[in-house]
Amino acid sequence: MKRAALPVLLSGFLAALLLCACAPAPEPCADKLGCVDIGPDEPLKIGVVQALTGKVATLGQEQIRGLELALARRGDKVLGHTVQLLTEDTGCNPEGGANAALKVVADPKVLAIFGTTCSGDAATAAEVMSKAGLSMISGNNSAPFLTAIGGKRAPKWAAGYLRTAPNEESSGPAAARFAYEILGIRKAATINDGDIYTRGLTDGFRQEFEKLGGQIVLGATVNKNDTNMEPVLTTVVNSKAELVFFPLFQPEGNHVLLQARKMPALAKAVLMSDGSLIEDSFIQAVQAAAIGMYFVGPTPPKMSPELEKLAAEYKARYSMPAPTIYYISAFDAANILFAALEKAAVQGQDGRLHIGRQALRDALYATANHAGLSGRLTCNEFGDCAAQSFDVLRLTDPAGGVEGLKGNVAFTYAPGR
Amino acid sequence: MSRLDAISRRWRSLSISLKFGCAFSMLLVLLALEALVGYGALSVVLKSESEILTSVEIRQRVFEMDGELEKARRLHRDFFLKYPEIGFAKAHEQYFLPTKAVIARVVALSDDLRQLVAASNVSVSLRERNKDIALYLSSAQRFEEIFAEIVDQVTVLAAPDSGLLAQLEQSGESLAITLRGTTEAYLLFLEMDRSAHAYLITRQRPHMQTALNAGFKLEQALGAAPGFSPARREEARRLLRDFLIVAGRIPDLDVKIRGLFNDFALQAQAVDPISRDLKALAAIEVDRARGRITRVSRVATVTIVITALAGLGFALVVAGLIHATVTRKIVALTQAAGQLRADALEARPQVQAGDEIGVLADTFTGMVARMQDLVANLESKVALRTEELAATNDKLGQAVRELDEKNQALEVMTRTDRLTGLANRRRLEEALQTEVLRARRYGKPFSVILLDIDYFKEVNDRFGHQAGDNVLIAIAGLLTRTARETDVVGRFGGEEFLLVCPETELQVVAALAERLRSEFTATDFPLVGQVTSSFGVAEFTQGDSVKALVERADQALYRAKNSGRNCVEVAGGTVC
Repeated sequence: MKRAALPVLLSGFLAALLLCACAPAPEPCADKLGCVDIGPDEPLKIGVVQALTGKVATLGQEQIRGLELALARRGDKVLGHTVQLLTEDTGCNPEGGANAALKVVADPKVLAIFGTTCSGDAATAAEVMSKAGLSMISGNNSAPFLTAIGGKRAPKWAAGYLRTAPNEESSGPAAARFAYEILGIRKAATINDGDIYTRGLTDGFRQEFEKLGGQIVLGATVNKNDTNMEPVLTTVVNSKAELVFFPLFQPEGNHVLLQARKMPALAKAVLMSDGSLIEDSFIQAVQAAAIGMYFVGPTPPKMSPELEKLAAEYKARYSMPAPTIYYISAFDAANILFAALEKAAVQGQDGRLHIGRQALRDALYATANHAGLSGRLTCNEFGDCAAQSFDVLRLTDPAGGVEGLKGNVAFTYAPGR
Repeated sequence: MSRLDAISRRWRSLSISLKFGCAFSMLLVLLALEALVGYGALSVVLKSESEILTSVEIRQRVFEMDGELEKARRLHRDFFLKYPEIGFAKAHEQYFLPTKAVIARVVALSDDLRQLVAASNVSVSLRERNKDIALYLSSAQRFEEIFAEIVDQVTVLAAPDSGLLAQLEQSGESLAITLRGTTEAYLLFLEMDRSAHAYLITRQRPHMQTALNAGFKLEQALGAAPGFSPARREEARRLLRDFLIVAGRIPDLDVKIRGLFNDFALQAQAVDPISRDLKALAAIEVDRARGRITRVSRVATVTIVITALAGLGFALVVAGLIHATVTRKIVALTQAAGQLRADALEARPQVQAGDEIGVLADTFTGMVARMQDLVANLESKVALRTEELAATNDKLGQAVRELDEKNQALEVMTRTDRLTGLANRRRLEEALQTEVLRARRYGKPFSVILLDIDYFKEVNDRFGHQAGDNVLIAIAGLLTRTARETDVVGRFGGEEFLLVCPETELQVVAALAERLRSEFTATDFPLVGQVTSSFGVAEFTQGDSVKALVERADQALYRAKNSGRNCVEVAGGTVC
């Protein structure tokens, strides 16, 4: 019996050795930022860092919905794997962005970050993300500080950070040009909330306005959550500004507008804000007070069957029409990310996916002529993928809502076109 | 059943060595199984023990890490509580630098913890928490960075002499002194100052904006204020500008500091649950490992007991099988052999098997049959052989008797003179030797008579040898008749005769010799007539040998011959 058992055991041992010898060895990772290995049954992990609480939660939610719609178009799979979204809230503030990013990058399996909503949290989140060797793409950040200003790296530039929302480096200049050239304004005041997004806009406005020959008579700042805007508006009055450019979010923007309308000294002052207030909720909140107010915002994509289809998918999925158009740039951002993942991924002999972090970054930066629904997208070395084009809109009829406002284009500024 | 029968048949047909091999193999398998179970259970217990130790270590590290982070937070809090009292430099030394050291320990601990968890065999849920530990690590590092930044910002804001608050206070005081004595300007200053203080209390930016607006009005009022020298007016404007610049910076700095503090809060929100969960998970891990040890121990105990019982049962079965297939057959064989020894030739071992014992039993049976057959034939053969033996024995008895007779005859022949029937010389020498020994031992006397027929050659020559022989025979008869029963009479050689007379002294023998001489002389031998004889007589003396005694008798005979024959000569004297 022993004689029979020995050959069997020996054969088993040799077979095991043979199997071990034939099994593919783990493939070494040559990527300088490291690789993420994904097993056949493992999901692709993507961090989602958005503002999901507070007044801008709607914008954060729109970003996530754009991502979900892009995923849905792919059958909720990328590279044959399901996608796990690790969602963190930034609260739309820098410290929230940093801490949310820290949570996401702590998981070594996370491939990239989809975010953020606000530029302020993007700056800190991008810094954390970049140090961790990840990539990050946003469909909503637009502050110039994040990518490039004047063709040079901006102060908060971070390697691996890209966006499909246009750099609003030209948003302030668009407003300044409209104010100076069309409205004939020569003295202007700016009010920001200290965030890099609003500061970027007011700085852009100031630079362009002063370059055109105008004078910035006041550069004021309010705090987020301030409700009493009378002091700052009094300062505006004192400055004798003919125009107030206040690219604030809700509710601070609402307070500025409503309280300005109550000040006779500002009756003739031109009030101008930006895309952060191009929302139905704002128009509904301020109603007639917003009549005659100007808004500078990115030129919306031209309506196309593809866009209508996406809008229909949005409505079908979420049982409501999209409150803003920013889900479109989120949709484009998600598709660029998925395409880059597909490009960077290497299918190993063992059936595992190997995705180099630097390879993913390279693939993202190499994005060219991507047929996005917000337009043709080509990412530059600074991470900007969208062309800059801004409209100045004038609200004449609150009942028309955002759509009515978008249709009332008073000025378009598209540098480079 | 048929399958069972087939197995049973197959079992019976196996050889003993194979049966033992199978049985002991099965026992070995059971032993191996038991050993494997024990080994497996021990491995699991050791692994679980390792997990418990690791989990305890993890929990310990988490406690240390958490304690250190809490210490860092306390130092951080104390820094802001104490710096107004003890100054920035001392607060920096007492709280900030220790905080950095504590955070460095937290970072090291969390890094160790991450490596410990990654390298350990703890549960997947605990291993998956490694990303939380990484977050803890990065949050701790961020804590250090933010703390340094916040200290910088607070220093800018609140440093006792150079901070913005101090500058605001100094500018305000200087401006108040400069504006003292004015009405409108001073009131505007007070409004500005009050709003600035309201801001410092509430940290609501509109208050500071109101202060700035009041400052704007004050600046306008300074231009129109009466009683100001140009220098004082310029000084007041400079102080106001300084005040407004500082006042304008303070809210921005506050926002930044609040953001940094909020960063701390967010970090706490992020890491506090991590340490709590890690502790809980480590505790669960310990419980899980303990539970596994309990379960495995229970299962192992049950398994070992079952396998032991199975082994015992199997051993009994094996013993039964061996008994049934080996021992019982050997006993049957032994009994059959015993019966055979007790002459029960009809004994047969009741063994049916295909093994070696079966073969042995068959051989035994064959052997017994053969023996029975042999025994049955042997009785008749023995009877026949007995008869043959009896006949042979009779013949042999007869032969023996004949042989005895012949031997006796031969004995007689070897000790008797063939012609005379007297003892021959050999017999005479034996008798002499016997008597010499006896005389030496007991001191008994004995004597001999040696006689020789006188002129016997002439008788032969004259009357022929037959006549001579007849004379010899006649003398022999005469001697035999005359000698005593105890005397030995023999032919010593030729015509010499010797008489050995035991326990007889010389005189008696000499008298006997004389009587014999007289008898010879008086006897008429047929054909020959008178024949005389000469006699030599000698008695044994101590120290004599047979030869010496016979020589002395022969010397006496020689003297008798010399003395004229037909006389008796005694050794040491003469009878003639």
